[in-house]
Amino acid sequence: MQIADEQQDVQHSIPDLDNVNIKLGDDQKKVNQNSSNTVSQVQQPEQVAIQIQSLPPKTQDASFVSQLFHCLFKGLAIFVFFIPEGLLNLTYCFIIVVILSAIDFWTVKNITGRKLVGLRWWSEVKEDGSEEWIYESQVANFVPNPFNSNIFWFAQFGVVLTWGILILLDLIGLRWFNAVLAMTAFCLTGINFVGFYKCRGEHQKKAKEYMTKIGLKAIQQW
Amino acid sequence: MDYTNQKHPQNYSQMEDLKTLDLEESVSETIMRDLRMIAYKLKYVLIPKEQEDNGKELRNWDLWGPLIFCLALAMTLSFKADSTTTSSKSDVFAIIFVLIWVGAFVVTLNAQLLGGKVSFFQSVCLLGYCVFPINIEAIIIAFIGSYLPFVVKLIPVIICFAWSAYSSVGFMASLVPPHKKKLAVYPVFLFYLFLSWFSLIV
Repeated sequence: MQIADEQQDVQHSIPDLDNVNIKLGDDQKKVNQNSSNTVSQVQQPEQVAIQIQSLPPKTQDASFVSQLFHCLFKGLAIFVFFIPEGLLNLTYCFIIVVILSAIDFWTVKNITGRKLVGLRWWSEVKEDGSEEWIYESQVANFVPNPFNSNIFWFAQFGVVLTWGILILLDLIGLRWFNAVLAMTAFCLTGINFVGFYKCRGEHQKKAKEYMTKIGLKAIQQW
Repeated sequence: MDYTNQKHPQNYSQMEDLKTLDLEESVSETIMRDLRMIAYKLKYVLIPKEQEDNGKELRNWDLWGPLIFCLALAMTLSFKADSTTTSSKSDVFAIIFVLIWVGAFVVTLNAQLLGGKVSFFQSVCLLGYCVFPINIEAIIIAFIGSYLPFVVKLIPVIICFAWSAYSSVGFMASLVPPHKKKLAVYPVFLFYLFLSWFSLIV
């Protein structure tokens, strides 16, 4: 009886751990999580109680296609920025860099953010008109592939830094047109960087809570 | 990551369903969802009669529409500028680009300072989408403008300006308290008036 009670208790708490997202009030996702957990619950009850408590880390393979796309548009944008004026009319350069930066923004925000590091952020406008920013991450036991996550963070931060330096150089050199362009690109990449950084903060908080709960459960078991 | 999670029905018109989207939806689904949002907003702006549900879907703001129309307008006008006046291509392009974004920013700021409770990006989004009629008339004038006398050119300009202003005024006016409506709406008129006039004289 005691074990059964404990099992029940653990069953309810695992979905909670997995759903420490802000504003997640849907049962469907909990059902999904339950279905992936129940596979391990088919075995003997005593062992199950111990197994469930620390889920194996959810890992992923290094995804080269995502990494390539993550870096591709950023690199192209910077490359086109440096093409000298004689070869490429400033106007076309501006258009191409802005379009590339926009495509890069969309790719990182919607695709490579999810696939490489399992994070997502967006904003919702509520009924009364106020805006709310939402940061979402994968389950607490998710461990991103180190290769993936390194490329993601280095590329994003590197690009933000590069555009920042280019803004300074253009302002000092009094090239206003290029400076405006660099500022636009800086804003786009910077916003993505800040959004994902905040997401990562959320995920680390989630993982810490998860670890604490496991620790507490382990102590309770004694 | 495992891609075997079942896909949730993509009914984009409900805010609740956005929250249940898996972190693992496919790329094509993401693209289609965004495209549908853009198409909805465009229809909302172009056909003012269809503004029944008060733009509930407008709350999913996106800046792709404004970016596309801004670039299109700037390109059209700078393309035309080369053949007629002495101002350089990139000057016209820069003016239009900066003007649209800074103008939208200022108009939104004005509405917010007047006490309107509106999401900044949502307002910029709507103002950007309402630039589309001006885009249309810029293209019309670019193609056949040189054959027409000035007065005839004025007609599409006025029609499209009225169209833009009417589409956006409905939204902007609903944001602020009633006695400040004119204060909020006046910059919007000014914004589109300048864009229309600019596209006429360039």
